[in-house]
Amino acid sequence: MKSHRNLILQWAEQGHLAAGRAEEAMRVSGALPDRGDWHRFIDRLLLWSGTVSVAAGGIFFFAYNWQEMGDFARFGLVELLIAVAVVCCLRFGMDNPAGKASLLAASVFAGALLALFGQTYQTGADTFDLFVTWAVAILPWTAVGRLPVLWILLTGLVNIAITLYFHAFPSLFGLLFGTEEQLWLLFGFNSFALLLWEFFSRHVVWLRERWAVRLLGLADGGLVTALALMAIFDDNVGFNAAFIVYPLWLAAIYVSYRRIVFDLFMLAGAVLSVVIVVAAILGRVLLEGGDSGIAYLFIGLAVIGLSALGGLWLKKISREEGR
Amino acid sequence: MRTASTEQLWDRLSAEGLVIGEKAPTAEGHSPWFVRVMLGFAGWVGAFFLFGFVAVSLRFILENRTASLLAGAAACAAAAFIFRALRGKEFAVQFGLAVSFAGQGLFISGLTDIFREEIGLGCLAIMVFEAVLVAAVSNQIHRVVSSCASAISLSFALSAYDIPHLAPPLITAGFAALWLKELNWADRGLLVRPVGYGFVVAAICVNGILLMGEPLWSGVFEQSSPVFGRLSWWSGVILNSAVFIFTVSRLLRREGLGMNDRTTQVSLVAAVAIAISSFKAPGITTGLIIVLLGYANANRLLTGLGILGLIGYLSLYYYQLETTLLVKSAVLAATGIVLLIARFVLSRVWPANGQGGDGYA
Repeated sequence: MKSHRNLILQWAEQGHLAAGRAEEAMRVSGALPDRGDWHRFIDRLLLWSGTVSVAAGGIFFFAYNWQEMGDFARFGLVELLIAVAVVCCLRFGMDNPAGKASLLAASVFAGALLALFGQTYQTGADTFDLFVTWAVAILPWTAVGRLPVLWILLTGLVNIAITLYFHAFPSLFGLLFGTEEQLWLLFGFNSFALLLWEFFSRHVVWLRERWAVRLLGLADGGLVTALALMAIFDDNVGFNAAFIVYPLWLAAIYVSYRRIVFDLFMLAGAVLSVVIVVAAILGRVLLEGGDSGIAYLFIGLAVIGLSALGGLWLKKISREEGR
Repeated sequence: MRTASTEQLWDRLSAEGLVIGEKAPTAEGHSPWFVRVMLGFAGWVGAFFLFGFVAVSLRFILENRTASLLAGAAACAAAAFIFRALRGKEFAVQFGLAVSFAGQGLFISGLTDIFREEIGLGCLAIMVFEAVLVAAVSNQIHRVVSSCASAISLSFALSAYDIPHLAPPLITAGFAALWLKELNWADRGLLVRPVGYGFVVAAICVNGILLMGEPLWSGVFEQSSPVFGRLSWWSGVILNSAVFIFTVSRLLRREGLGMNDRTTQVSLVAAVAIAISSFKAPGITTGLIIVLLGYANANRLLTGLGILGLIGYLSLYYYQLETTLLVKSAVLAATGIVLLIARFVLSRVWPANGQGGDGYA
């Protein structure tokens, strides 16, 4: 439906399109949505935005911890919400968007129930326990839901649990865990999730949502870049695993998204990561002895040159793939 | 690059008398949006170091407001020249971006020094400066950044004059007008689209910043009287709702649905209900406007930005301090229920086989 949009707009800018007739050209080419497209879109927009608003409203409500409302009423309300969501899911079926949206709402309300339990009985459990239990509780629904957004929710819950775990236990067996260890664990988990997603999406059609893979890739790339920057600016001279893992990650991204599954988004992210890491290395080497104007100029020009080269390369491979 | 599909499209449009010329012109290879975002970000990193060079080696420029203004203006002029003279040359374009961003930093530091006592005027001056750059510098990444900076400066200026809540609807009205007219102004797309994106990003940021409250807004809220604050808030909400309803009505008209059509009437009632139920969280209607405009123009990037804006707004809304979580939960639940009821009613008056209107234009 949308493939001709850019071409028509380009022709209009170049003066190849009859003046003031771009909309007509778009309609003739089928680039603009028709009545059927609009119907589907408005239906999904209202369904998902409505479900997310109600689910978020539920989370906000139980986070408020309204004392005037008794425990019985609060537990009753959240359990009723879960029951209604599950019944709607069963009633509409998993192939229906309304069924999928209901399952998402049920998964969110499950977290509200666990939070309410901890809030009411003061179990003494750490906050990360809540997110681990929440993730485990919704795992069966996620497994049968065939819904990428539920897997992303699950991944997000595990990420939060890992982060909170390190806040609760900064040391274990006498070993002090810092930000770096936390980032390594998050990086490991997200890399594993990305790998699994890419592997299974070759066989499972509903997993072929590129936005979800790119989101995982973004988290993964951000974490490994942060680890590389920490290693570069680390004052302790010696071995740092990031010096080995970072180039390996770059190579893996190149092979995966240039050779196996072409994804320019992932490659563009890797290019940006390289630009940042090279700027950091140059900054560490050239600015260590104090501020030097020439060093700043050199690093600035290096960043410009590298990013331009990266842009050229991305353009070239994009053209090659487009052929 | 000329593909079979391009030729077919050209022939089809040619048969309708919509294109000028015998053969399809060779298409220019434009980079996808994320490559442009990556280059823009790298341009900022480069600009940071160029600015560092000026701060260390040419410190006298930063210490003198006239020198800052002159050097900043010269750098921006040089960048404008580079973009015009060396269009399409990757190194030159990237160099131009970094030089311009560093130049803007210098010029804005000079302006803030001049308007140290007049924050509002200073922000308005930055807004005008960035608007001039939008018109003068013919690079799309640059135009997105400058439009966004210009709109955010406007919001800071309005904040300084104690009317901060007017900024989001004014910016939203700006981008709604641009995207509604995108196809009418298709020959000026290289100016219209970047400005449209810049305003959209600005509206998302300003909505988020407003939720976070005073500290990010130079503390100017502290001077505001409660009555003036409420007036600003209500004006903002009403204006925002008006933009939402106007956008929905224009899109319905564009699709050939008149005011007497049942689908139009139900859609407008639904839009009013959504605006009323979410009046305590106006960022929701802003997000919906972006999503609708994106879909209407077959622009997936814009639709994605709207969804991102909605998710971001809901996440920040949790931390807003002005309202209790109980009120916020009621607002969200009411908005959600209204959205779901609207879906139910629309499915009745506009069934899936699409015969609810007067016919498709």
